[in-house]
Amino acid sequence: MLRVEGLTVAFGDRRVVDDVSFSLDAGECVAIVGESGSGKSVTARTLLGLSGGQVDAGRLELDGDDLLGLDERGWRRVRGSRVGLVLQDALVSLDPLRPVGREIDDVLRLHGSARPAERRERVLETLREVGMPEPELRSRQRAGELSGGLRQRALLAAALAPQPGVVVADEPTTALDAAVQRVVVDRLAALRDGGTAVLAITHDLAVVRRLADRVVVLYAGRVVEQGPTDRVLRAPEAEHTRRLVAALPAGKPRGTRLSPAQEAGARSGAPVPPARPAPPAAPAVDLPPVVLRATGLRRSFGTRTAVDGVDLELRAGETLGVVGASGSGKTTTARLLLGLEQPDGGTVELLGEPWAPLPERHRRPRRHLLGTVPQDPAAAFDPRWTVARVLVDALSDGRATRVGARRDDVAALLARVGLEPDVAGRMPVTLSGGQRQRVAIARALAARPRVLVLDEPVSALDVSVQAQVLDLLDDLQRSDGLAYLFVSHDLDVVEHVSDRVAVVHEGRVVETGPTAEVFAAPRHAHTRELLAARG
Amino acid sequence: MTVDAPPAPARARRDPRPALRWLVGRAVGGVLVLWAVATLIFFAVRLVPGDPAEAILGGPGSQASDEALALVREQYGLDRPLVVQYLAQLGRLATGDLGSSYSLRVDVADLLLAQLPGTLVLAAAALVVAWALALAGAWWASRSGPVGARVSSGLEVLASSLPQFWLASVLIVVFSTELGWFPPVSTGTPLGLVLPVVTLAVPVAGFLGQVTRDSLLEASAAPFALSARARGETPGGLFARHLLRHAALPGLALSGWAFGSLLSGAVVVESVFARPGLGRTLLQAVTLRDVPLVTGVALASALAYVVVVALGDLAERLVDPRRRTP
Amino acid sequence: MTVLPGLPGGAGGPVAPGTDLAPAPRPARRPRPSPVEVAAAALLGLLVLAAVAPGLLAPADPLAVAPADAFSPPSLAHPFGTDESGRGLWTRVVHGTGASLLIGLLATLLGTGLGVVLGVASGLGRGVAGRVADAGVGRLIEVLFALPGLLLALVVIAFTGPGALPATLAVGLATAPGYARIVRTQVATVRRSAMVEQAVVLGRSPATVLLRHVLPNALAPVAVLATLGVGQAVVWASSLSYLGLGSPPPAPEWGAMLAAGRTYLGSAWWMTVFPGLAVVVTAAASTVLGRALTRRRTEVR
Repeated sequence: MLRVEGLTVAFGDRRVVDDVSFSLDAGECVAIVGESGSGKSVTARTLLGLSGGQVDAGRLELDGDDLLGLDERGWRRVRGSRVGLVLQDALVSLDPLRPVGREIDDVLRLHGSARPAERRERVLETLREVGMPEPELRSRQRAGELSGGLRQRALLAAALAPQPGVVVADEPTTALDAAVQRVVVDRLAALRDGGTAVLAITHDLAVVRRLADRVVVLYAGRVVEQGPTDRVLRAPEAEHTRRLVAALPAGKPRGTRLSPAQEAGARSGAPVPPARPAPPAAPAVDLPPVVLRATGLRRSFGTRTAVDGVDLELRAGETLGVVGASGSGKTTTARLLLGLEQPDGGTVELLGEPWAPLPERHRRPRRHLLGTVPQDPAAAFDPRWTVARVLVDALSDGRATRVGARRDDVAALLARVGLEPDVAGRMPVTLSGGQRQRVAIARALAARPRVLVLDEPVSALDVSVQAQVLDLLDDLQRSDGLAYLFVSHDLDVVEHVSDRVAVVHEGRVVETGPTAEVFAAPRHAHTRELLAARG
Repeated sequence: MTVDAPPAPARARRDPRPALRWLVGRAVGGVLVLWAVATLIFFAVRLVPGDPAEAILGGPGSQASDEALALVREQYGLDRPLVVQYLAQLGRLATGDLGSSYSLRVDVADLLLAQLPGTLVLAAAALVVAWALALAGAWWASRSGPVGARVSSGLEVLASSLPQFWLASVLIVVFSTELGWFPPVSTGTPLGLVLPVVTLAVPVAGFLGQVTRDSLLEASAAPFALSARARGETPGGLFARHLLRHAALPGLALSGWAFGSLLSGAVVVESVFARPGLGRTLLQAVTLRDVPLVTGVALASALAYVVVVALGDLAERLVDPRRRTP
Repeated sequence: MTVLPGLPGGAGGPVAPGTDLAPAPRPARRPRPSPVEVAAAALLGLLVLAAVAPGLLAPADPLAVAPADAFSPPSLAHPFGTDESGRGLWTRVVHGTGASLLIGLLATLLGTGLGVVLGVASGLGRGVAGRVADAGVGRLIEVLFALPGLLLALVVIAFTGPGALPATLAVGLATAPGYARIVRTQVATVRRSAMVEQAVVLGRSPATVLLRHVLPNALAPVAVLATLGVGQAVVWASSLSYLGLGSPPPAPEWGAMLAAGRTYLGSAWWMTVFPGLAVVVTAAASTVLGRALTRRRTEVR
C-alpha cells in the first residue's frame, strides 16, 4: 500500500533521513524504531508532507499514487483522509481550547460534503468505535476535562473518523501512564486487525513487540536493519540493534550489564557474572542495618491527601524500588524522605536518628548523608554555574572556594561517573541528557552520602543512555555501599534495579517484598493491575 | 479501570456559585483599591510641607485669599484630629461627595460625569483599532516568512517607542496643516476623531502586536497545530479556528496595562487636539494643583481600571476554559 | 510601560540534543547581531557621545540668541531649523542629550531600586508573617497599577509642583510598580525551582541559598529590563515636559524645547518634531537593545 524507496530528507546541507526504504501493506503494522535524532519522526511526517525539509526519493507511493510531486493543495487532500496522524499526549495534541467533538468534526468537514447532521452522527460513531463511554457528553468536553484514557481515545478518534487507509502513530505511548498506554496500543492493534495499515514510530521496544509485524531500525537517518519483529528482536544482526535490545532492562536480572562495558573485548548484553549473590530465598541471619525508615507518613495538600500512612524500610547497600501510577503519592513520599516537605503525620529516621518532622537547622549537619538525583537535571542546576562550579560547591559543602583550587578533585569525580575532565568547563545546559544526569550523580556523590533518593532518574533518557546510567548507578552502589530508594513508574526498570519493591497506590504502600516474589506472584489487586497493564 | 473513570461528573450547566464568587471577589478587591487610592492621596496632601489648606487650593503659590483658606479649613476639618479627618473624608467619598473644584468652581462629581463619555469614546475606539492592527500585523507576519517577521517586529518596536505627543504633532503637521484631510482640533464630527484615535491606538497596537505575534508563533509550533494540519486544515482555517484564540490570550491578560496606556495617552491626546475629556481635566487639575479634582480623577481612573481588568479576566475565561477553576 | 511580559522565568532548557552514542553537541554559538541591533547600538553610542562631549557634534553655543534668525525652517546652516530666539535646534538638541538622558537614567534607577526593594520584600516572605508581607506589598503594587502610566506621575506632580526634579521623581515612582511586579514573580519562581531544592538537600543554609542562588537569578533580568526602561522613562519625562510640567524653557533639554515648541506647532513644526525625534530614537534604540539582550538570555539557557 505504501512504498518508500530511497527517501532522503535534508534541512539545508544536513541530511536527517538518508536513503530510507520500506513498505507497508494493509492489515499490517510496521514499527520504525530509533533513538532521538535517528530521523524517525521526520520520516513519519514526510508521509504527510509535513517534514519541513527538502524531500527526495526514488519512489514515494500510496496505493500506486505518487506522493512526490504533490503540491500543497494535493497534500491537503491526502492528509487526514488517506493518511492519518496520531501524536502522543492528547493534552497538547488536541486544541485545548476546543471541544474534542469539534476537532473530530473538522476532519470530516475538510474531506467530504456530508451535511452537519451526518457529520455529527459519524463523530459519535467514531467515538463509540474507540470505546468512549457517553460519547454525546464527552464530545462536548475539552481534552483537559477528560481523564488520561479518555482523551487518548478522543485523539485516536480524530485521526480515525475519515477511515484513512494508513495511520501513522508518532510516539503514541510516550509520557503516558502504563494503563493508558495499554489502551492506545490495543486500539492500534484492533485497527491493524481491521485492515488498516499502521506505521508506528517509537523508541519503546516493548510496544514494538506487542504491535508490529515488521521492524525498521534507524540510526542517524539510515536503516541499519529491518525484518520480522520476532527475528530482529530475538536475533538482531546489526550492531546498533543488538545494543538497543541489550539495553532494555525488561527481563534482565539484577546485576546484568545493560550497556557495553568500557573495557575492550566485553560483549554487550552478556550477563557479567553477578558480583552480588542472588537474594537468598530464606531470610539471612545477618541483615544489613536499616539506614532509612519511614513510619506512618502522612501529607495532605488542602483537601487532597497525597500520602496516607506510608511505611518503608531501606537497608544499607540495597535498592528499594517504589512503583505506582502517576498521582499515587510516590513523588511526595520521596520529597518527605528528603525533607523537602514536612509530614503532617508519621516519622522518618535516618541511620537511626530522627529525621522528620524536625526543624531544618537540626537536620542540616546530617544532610550530607542523604543525596538525591532528580528527574530533570536541566532545571536542577544554577543556570549561571559551570559544571566545575557545581561540583566544587558540592565538594566544599557550600563554602566559597576557588574553582581552580579543586580541579583535581573535580576531574576525579567526573571520572567516577564516566565523564571526561573537559566537561568541567561547560555549562550544564549545553550537555546531553545523559551527561547532565551523570553530573547530577557526581554532585550527589561529592558529599559522600550513605543513601540516595532517586525520583525517576532515567525516565527522560533514551534507552541506550538509560542503560549506561543504570549500569553506572549499579557500579557505584557496589563500590560505595550506597542504599538507593528508586522511585519510578517504569516497571521494567524497577524490576531490573531493585532488591525489594514497594507498590504505592492512593498514598499507601499496598504491597512490599523481594522483587522477584512481588513480580512473579503479586498479592494485592492493584499490583496485579499494574503488572497486567505492562503486558 | 481507573484509567477511564471520569475525573468528576461534568458540572451541571449554569451553576451560579463560582460566578458569584468571582464577582464578589472582584467587587471587594475594587473597593479595596479605591480605598487605598483615597488613603494615599489623603496622606500625600498632609505630607506636603506647608499648610494643607493651601495645598488643597493649589499649592504655596496659589495666593489664595484668607476667606478661601478658612472655608477649606472648615470644610475639611483641618483643625480636627487626623483620624477624624480621615474618617470624615472616607465618609464623604463613600456617599459620592467628591468635593468641589476650587479652580473651576464646579462640583467634582458632576464635572467627572460630564467629561467621562468623551474619554470613553476615544479610548474604546482606540482599543478596537489597536487590536485590529495587532491581529492584522500578526496574521501578515505569520504568512510572510522571516523577512516579514523582521519588518513587522521593527514596526512594532517603533510604534511602541513613539511618544504620543510627538506622533500627534507629526500627524497634525502632515495630515492637517499640509494635506488638510483632517481637522487639527476636535470639531465634534467623526472626521475629527480620526487623528486622535490613531495617535492613541498606535503605541498600544505596537505592544499588543509584539505579544500577539510571539504567542502566535508559539501556538503554530504546538502539537495541536500539527494535528490540525495533518487533518488537511488550510492555513486560513488553522489561523481562524485554532491559532487566533491562543494568540489573543496574552493580549487579553494585558487589558489592564492597555487601559493604562490608553488613559495616559488620553491626557496628551485630549490636550493636543483640544478634546474635552477626563484627560484634559486631569491635566488642568494637575497644573493648577487642584486637589479635590485630582482626587476625583484618580478615583475615577482607579475604578475604571478595576472594571477593565475584571472584564479582561472575564474575556480570558470565556476564551480559555482551562482557567475556569473547579 | 513597554515592558515585555514574557520573561525568562528559568524553567526549561533546550531539548536534550540526542543520545550519548552520537557525538557530544557543540555548545550553542552566540548568534550574530542583526543589522538593526548594530544600528541601535551605534545610535546609542552616538547619544552617549552627545551627552558627554556635545561640542564634538555641535560646536555652536546652545544659549546664544540671534533674534534675526528666529523661526527659520530647516536649512543647510541650521539642519534642524531655529527656535523662537533664533537658536539652532540641532545644537540645542545635541547639547540637551546629556540632561535628557540623565533624567531618564535617574528615573529608571529610582524605579528599579524601589521596584527591587518592594519585589524582594514581598517575594521572600516565609511563614505567616512573610505571607502577610507578600499580600500587603502585592496589594500595594496592584493599587499603584490602578493609576497607570502617566497618571501616577501626574498625581505626584500635583503635589510636588512642576519642574525637572519633580518630573524625574514622578516618572521613577510611576515605573516602580512594573519592576516590582516582575521582581516579585521572579523571586517567587526561583524560590520554588528545582535548583533551590537541590541546594536545600545539599544542606545549604537559607541565607546561602538566598544570597547565592535566589537573588542573583531573580534579579538578573532587571538589568536588561532597565535598558528597556530608560527609553520609556525618557518618553514619559519628555511627555511631562511637553505638557508643561517638566523642565521649563530655556534649558537645552528636549522636554523644555518641546514645551516651547508646542505653541508654534502650526507655524514652526520643526521645533516640536526634531526634539521629539531625538526622544523616539532614544526609546527605539533602547528597546531594540533591551529585546536583543532578552533574547540572548533566553537562547543561552
